[in-house]
Amino acid sequence: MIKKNYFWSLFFICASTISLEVAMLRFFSAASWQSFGAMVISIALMGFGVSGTVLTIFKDFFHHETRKKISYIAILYLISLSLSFLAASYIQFNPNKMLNPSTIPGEVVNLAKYFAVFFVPFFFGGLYTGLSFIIHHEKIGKIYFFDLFGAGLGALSVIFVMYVLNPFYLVVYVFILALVATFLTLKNSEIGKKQTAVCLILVLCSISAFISFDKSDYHIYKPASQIKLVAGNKPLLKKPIYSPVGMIEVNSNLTEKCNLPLSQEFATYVPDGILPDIYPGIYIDGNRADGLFVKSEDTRFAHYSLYNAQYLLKKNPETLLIGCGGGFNVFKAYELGAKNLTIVEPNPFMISLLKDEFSEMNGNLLNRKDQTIIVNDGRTFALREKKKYDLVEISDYAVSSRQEENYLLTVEALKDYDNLLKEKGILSVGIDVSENFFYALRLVKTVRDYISENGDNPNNRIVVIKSLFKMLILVKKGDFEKSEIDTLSKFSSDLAFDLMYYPGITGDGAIYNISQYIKIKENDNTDPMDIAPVIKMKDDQLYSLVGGIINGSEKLDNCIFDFQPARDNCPYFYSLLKPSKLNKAISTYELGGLPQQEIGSLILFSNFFNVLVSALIVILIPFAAKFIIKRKKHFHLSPKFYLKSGTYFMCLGLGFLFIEMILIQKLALFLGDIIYSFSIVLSSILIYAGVGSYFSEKFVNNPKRCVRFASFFTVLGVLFIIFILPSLIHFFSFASFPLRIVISLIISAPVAIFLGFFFPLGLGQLKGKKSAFVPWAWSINGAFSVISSVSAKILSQIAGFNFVLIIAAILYIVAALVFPEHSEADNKE
Amino acid sequence: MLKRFFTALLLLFFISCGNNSSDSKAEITDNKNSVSDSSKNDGKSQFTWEQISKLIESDKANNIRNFECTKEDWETAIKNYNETVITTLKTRKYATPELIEAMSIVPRPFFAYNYEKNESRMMQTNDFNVILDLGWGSTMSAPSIQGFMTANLNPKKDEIALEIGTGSGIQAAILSRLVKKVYSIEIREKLAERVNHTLKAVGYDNIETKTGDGYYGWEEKGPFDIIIVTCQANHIPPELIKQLKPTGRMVIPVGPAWSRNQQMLKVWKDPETGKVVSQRLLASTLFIPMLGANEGKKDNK
Repeated sequence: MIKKNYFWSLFFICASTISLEVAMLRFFSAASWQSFGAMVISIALMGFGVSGTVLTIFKDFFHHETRKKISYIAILYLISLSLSFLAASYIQFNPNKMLNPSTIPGEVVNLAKYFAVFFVPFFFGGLYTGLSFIIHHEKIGKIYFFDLFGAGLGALSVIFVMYVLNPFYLVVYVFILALVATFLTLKNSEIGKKQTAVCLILVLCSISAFISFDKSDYHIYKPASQIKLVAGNKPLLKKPIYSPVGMIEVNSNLTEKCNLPLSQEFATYVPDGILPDIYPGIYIDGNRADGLFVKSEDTRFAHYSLYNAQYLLKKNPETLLIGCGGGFNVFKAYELGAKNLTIVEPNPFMISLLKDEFSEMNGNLLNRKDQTIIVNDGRTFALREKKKYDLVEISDYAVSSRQEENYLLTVEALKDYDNLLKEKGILSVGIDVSENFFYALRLVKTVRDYISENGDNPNNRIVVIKSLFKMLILVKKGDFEKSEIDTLSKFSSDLAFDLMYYPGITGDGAIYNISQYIKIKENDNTDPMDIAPVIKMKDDQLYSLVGGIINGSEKLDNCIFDFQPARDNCPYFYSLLKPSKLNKAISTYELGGLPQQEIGSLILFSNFFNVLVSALIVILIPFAAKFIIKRKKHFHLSPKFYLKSGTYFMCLGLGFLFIEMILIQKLALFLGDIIYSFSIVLSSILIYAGVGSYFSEKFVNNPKRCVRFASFFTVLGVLFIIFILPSLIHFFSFASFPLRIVISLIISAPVAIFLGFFFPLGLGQLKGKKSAFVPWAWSINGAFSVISSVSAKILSQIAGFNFVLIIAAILYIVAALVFPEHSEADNKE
Repeated sequence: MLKRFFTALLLLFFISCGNNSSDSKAEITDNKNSVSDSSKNDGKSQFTWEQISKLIESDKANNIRNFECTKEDWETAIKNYNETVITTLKTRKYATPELIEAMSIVPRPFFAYNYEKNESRMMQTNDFNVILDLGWGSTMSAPSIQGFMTANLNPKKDEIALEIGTGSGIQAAILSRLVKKVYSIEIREKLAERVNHTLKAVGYDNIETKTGDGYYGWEEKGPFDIIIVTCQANHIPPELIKQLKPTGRMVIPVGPAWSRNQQMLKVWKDPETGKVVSQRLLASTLFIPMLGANEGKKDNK
């Protein structure tokens, strides 16, 4: 009889490996950058893939004294957890060096080091899982149950742990899960007491090494690291706030000056005006998110900000503010007459900072009766809100959110905001242009395209005003009137802001041919230095460019960077790089041309190189083993068989992750954040695929038909995601967050269940002499899984989510067509 | 055995204390060994080795700096500085004869010193674009930038200048050769004390410095014809605008902290309307952040 410990030990190992993925994601996000989701998945799959291959190649070895070996593997997994995070803390990956062509190779090597370091625990975790199947092969169903439910609950539970633990030490939770698994394994272990003692000493040593030498912290380049070097820096929170969406700190120091888009004429008009002394900085995962508003006696400065313009056009407007940030925009709204302010902020901790912790400092800004506070993503809120507003203000704090998938600024989002406006209402969007103006150009194009696709004339509905480092775009529901334009013109002139575009603007501002600046024709060997003008563009040329975009004369088609608007199918607002122009784009570094936000894309492309190398290693393992191991029997298999079977497992390796990655992206809009989506989709797909695998056993007598059946429903599932899921997201947007989690779990079912049929049915066909192909099946599937997560991200950035889903559907159709069905004739030699 | 062990430990402890080069241990003595008048430079010509060596000795005696420098070292440093920096400066269109002369006679290698580590940066001043560390997070801007900023201020002999961020004192020293009087503010107290001493020692008597928060300017001494800000601000401080004369000029790097996308602005007032006008001189520059007031304190009001 099998002891229950074995199942529970597997449960905890699987929970541990999955929560390790999520812990790594948070580790990277806090330590350096947040574009590592695809890389984390690739590393995990590489570990699992290699473990599967090794198990099948060294099957005889692992079938002997399995229970002993599994105990050692549990110990090795435990040791590798602490040592891998310890080693990772010493890898000096600097995302900023990804912008410099001469330092990119070094950083690609650093990324490869992350692969090497984190591959190890996933390898041992995969080995443990695989060995569990070997030991308890007579209880496959129950094993699957504990495997997949452990993984599912691990992914969900780690979300709660993120509210308690520092992101650099989430590995502690992962370690505890692994410790429980190891304890349960050792209880029934067949290894001697001496060996057990040695193992435990090694575990203690690894823990001690981690505690003593771990250097996990924000990278030195991050603003939070740098302000800690400023003398007198004082954290204003007793301890940082931990959450899945970021670790929040508030710092007060000498560099935290009032950082508002104030007019330089403030001192001219208000000679005795006083700005607040200190504006403490709010830092999320080491990046400065916003300044914390501090109420001062003299509030006149609030009337000299660029972001006042819209309030001059509406008296006491019913206002919706998306992104309250540190509070200045809330204060300014009230100061300028906003009525019944609705504040939407996705980060609940920002709200609690302003409402509770720092309420006295900000003058009880968020404790007023004439306001409504909604904790929600701005776009998700816009989907469901029925009320209409005079003014919808999207703060530059909300716009500057560094999430790659930014549904706030897509063409479809503008439609949702437009629906929130009363007739003649105004939408205002602020954007920072201190680094460069590329994203501002994209935003202008997005607004322009939305209005144009809606059948209206963009020329009459847009005004653009600029201060030194900020740009404000005003979009009216209706045409701007002359009196309004005159008001804005006077505002700009009085306060020395630049009125870049308004309806009726004439002269150089209306039409501008920029062909000599950023248009680069195909097969053009234009020296990158020639694009220097676009980066150091003089202000009048920038203004003309904005005018050209709005009136449609400039389509920004053939440029080094991709300025086309983000859409819900491809919501990568902060991704301008085109793979075909990557070299030229990177070479603009010396000119200061490559924005820091593009680091995410550069990491992705660099990781593609690393995953190709990793996949090659995985795929060559059986090949190498052939020379190492002397097989007693050697079966000759036809090239046609290799091709057919190889194609089958390749399709599965690619297709599964394509669907999983895109589902994560799409549900990020519904759930409000990629971390929640990552955990929930990961756990639900594993659980449902496991259920599918379990039921696939019932079709072993007619596997080909079953696979075709599963392929048909997988394609239907893909079509469901493409055509029906967006409507479901709209429909259920009213739901509370816990309900949205449940709905997401249910939504994943239709396609995920059938995904679980393919691999066990395919593997089950490799009997008799075909069993020689089993290691190859694992390695091909593993290799292409490794490639697929990064490829899915790259393809979706180029062509959109639906394109990747269609590719996935085609892959499963091909898989059904090349299914390597076994027949008895195949066993005859 | 144990006794010897602990005695050795104690000895080691005292030795390490004695060797501790922390400036908190080394108090600056006040003008006990100042340079004699006969060794002072006249402010119109280059420093001789004799004058420099007296300055070095004086600084050593007053615990300002502690480094050894031979005549050969000094002459090499000056020669390299002239051959690289001054020669390059002469090729720049903005470089007036007055600016070239000022930057020639001010002994840059002498000012290049890391006070926190007590290390001279003398030999590294032979680069037109090099930024040097001074200690405590402060830096000495490159000669290229200092020359560019000074030239754009168009300084005149009868004018009064305000510098925010004394740093090494080199910019104040250069300006002092071109204007009537320079006021300079440094917020880093440890740096300010030492550099104040250095500026007095070199004999540039038309420089007055103090420790304080430059964000608020120096109201008592204003208004100013020229304001030069040698650290990054994220906006133009209103107080500095107020202390700028109607015909005054300000040059200030503005932009995000720690970013190479800071912009160098020239600011002045429209003679007819009095409104502030700004012009971008450089689109990409990097200065250390301006440090503001300590919480709740405005220590120069």
